[in-house]
Amino acid sequence: MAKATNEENKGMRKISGKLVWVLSVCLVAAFVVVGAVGRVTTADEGKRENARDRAPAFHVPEKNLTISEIAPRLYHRKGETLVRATGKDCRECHVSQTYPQGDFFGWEHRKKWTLHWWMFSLAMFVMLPGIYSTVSLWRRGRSPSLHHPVHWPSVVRAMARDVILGERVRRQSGLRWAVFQLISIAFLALAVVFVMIVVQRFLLPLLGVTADRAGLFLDFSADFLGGCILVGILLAVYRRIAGRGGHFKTEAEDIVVLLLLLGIVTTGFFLEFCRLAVVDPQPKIWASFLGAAGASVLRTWDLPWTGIRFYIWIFHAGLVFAFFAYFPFSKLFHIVTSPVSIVATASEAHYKQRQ
Amino acid sequence: MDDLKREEIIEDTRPASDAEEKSETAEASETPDVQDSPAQVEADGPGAGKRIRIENLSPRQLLELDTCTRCSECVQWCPVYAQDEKDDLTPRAKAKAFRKILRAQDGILSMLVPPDSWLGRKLKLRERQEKRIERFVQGLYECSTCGQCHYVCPSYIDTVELWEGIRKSIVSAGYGPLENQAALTSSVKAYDNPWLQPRSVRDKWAKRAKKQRQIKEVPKNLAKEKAEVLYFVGCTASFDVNIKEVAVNTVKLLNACNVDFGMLGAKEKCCGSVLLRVGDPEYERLARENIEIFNSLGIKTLVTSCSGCYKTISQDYPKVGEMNFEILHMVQFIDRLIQEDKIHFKQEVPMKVTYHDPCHLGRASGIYEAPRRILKSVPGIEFVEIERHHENSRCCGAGGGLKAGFPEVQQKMSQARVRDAVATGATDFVTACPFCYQGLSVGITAEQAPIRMRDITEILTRALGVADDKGEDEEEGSEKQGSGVRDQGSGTDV
Repeated sequence: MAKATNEENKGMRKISGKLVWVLSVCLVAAFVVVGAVGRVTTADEGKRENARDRAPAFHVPEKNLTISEIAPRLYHRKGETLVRATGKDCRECHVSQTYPQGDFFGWEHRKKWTLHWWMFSLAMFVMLPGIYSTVSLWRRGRSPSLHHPVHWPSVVRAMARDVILGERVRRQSGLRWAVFQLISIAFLALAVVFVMIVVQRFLLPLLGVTADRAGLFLDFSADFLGGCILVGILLAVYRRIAGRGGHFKTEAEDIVVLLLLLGIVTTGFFLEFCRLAVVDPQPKIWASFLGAAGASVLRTWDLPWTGIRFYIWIFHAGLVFAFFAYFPFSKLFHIVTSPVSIVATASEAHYKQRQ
Repeated sequence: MDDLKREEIIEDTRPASDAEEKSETAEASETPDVQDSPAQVEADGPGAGKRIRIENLSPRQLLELDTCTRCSECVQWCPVYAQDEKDDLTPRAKAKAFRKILRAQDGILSMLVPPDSWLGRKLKLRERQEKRIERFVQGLYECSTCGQCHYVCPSYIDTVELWEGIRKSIVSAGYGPLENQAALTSSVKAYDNPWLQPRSVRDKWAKRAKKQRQIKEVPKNLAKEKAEVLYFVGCTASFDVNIKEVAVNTVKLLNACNVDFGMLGAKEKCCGSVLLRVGDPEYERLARENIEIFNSLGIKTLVTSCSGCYKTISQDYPKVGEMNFEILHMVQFIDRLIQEDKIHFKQEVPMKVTYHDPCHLGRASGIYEAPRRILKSVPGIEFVEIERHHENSRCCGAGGGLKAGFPEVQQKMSQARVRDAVATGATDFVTACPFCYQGLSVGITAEQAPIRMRDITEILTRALGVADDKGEDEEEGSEKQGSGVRDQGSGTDV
């Protein structure tokens, strides 16, 4: 009987092995096709826009072109000079003679977003099979995960007390708790703020609603939370250095994760500095207090910040996608699994206490 | 259920003779479908790349392997690591190593490059996996499954259940248990006790106690008569000559409290804790048989004075089958009687005591306050708290197969715990588990510590005034133990 089961398992493994090959090939093919289509589309747009700009090439400082002349169709109504969704002059962020060849649309559409697509595809190509592989491994467990029905009050309590407030971590180490709160919770809050920014800047304007004050608050929140994450990462680095020699062990994976996070946050801030360095230093930009402070420093150097921003943007996006790709193969996966483990234990512990 | 039927069930769940036992257990071991039969394991041969049965684990346990961030909190608290600083035995390293083993066996890369493929052979994937597993198994078994790591893990990973599940997979694949531990499991399978003792002498302690007038009567045999309470003695108190006092004192206590109780006598079987802790899949067979016997007795309550048995029956048996009675540890039973004002301690017991929380009673079952309440209610007792207590109690190392597999590490652990006790200034070191009693006694002897080991039942019999007449002899024995010359028993290690 055991032998028969073994044979069946071997058969299943062979089939699943082939299935993985087929799925992988399909996935690659899908990405290539979608990527190529995306590339053709963006390149096509670029061509059309480039045709308009071909002679003479697009040189911003030469003439004061209106926005409707630059991009009449994509973002603006005829005659408007501002981006409809954000209310900003798009040149604030993008247009600069320092762009490669001074060709903003060419590089934005043909290079930047095409590159973005390929990086995203590559990251997904690594991340999705990684998640599939891990989750399918979990699903092969046959013993029951829970021996009792889920006790929801315990789950909610554990979610608040241990997942969000990190009660056990606080009892163990104040420093570690600070790192946890500054990175994890600030990251969670930043995700919420990001969604609110999308709503405030892109969805509400479509409904004809403006919420400028809310926008300032969101700018402030994003900077504040980003700063928290940066401080958290620096404290985590300090903790690793200070804890050397004891039970605390730093592995290569820990360093990679910290460097990735540090890279993402610092390049993110630098993008903000560059963006704000080329716009009018109005008082309202100080809502992004860290960004404005960094921008005021950058302004003291006469460097092509818009062009530099372009390359940092690519580097930043690369780090973000590397983060995604690395996610299922690293300790980063605990971001998802740890809350599950905590609430499952809390639910089971409830029945143990009753006994 | 009538007596005849009850007897039949008990008889049915027992092998007819010792000669037939081994063949029967061999048959039983083939039944679980998630286990390689011994013959299969044998046929694979060493280094044949036996598959680790991932099916023995739950999705939650597999998820927990990915939950561990190797934060090292567990390492700081691990009582085994404190005595043997090998990284391989830390929960952190074990979770990582097993995750790597599973990924090498069932991960996406193993599907793309199977070990038997040309590339797999070139890369020596199978040999590397074998080495990885062998190294992992040593660390896996150098653990007392005390559960301290679970109580400090920021992700609340249920480590004890995880290690036990992994051990089961390891045993099924033929990589475990360790040699010394295998002797114990074989004994349980053959004789229903881990001490290689014949079944017929299981209740010898009671007969001898009656002969020595320690107890008036041998308790009722529930295979033949009915009673409300079953006293489950457990193997340690039944067979270890130095621990039998725990059983005798428990009987005295139950008698003093006028409890209608009985025992299974020679027909009692090991609870199976040993099998479960080292990962032997035959535990389920034993548990099922015991559940069937217990359910047939028509009892209201099962009482045990062994924390290991209590944990197994109350926490682990419900995962195997339903039981139709309440399960209590002796301290809970007595505590309940005190709360109900049914017993009163009459005699003064002038001692300064400290209490060791057994892992199976404390961390595993959450019973911390009942023994403390009892001790504090005994007149004359001065109670002092030991350095690490409640959920941070330092394990004595007697459980989880550690004592059998790594006796020198267990001794160091018990010595460390004894030093904790001595530091309190207590004259007596109390626990509520015969197994911890046995383990800590080793430490007292090795340390030549000026402290006496006591089981909580011993103090209670004295407080109730039902301790036997040979008080002087007993004291003498205790003094001897304190000076480190007391015989430490049959040398049985689990």
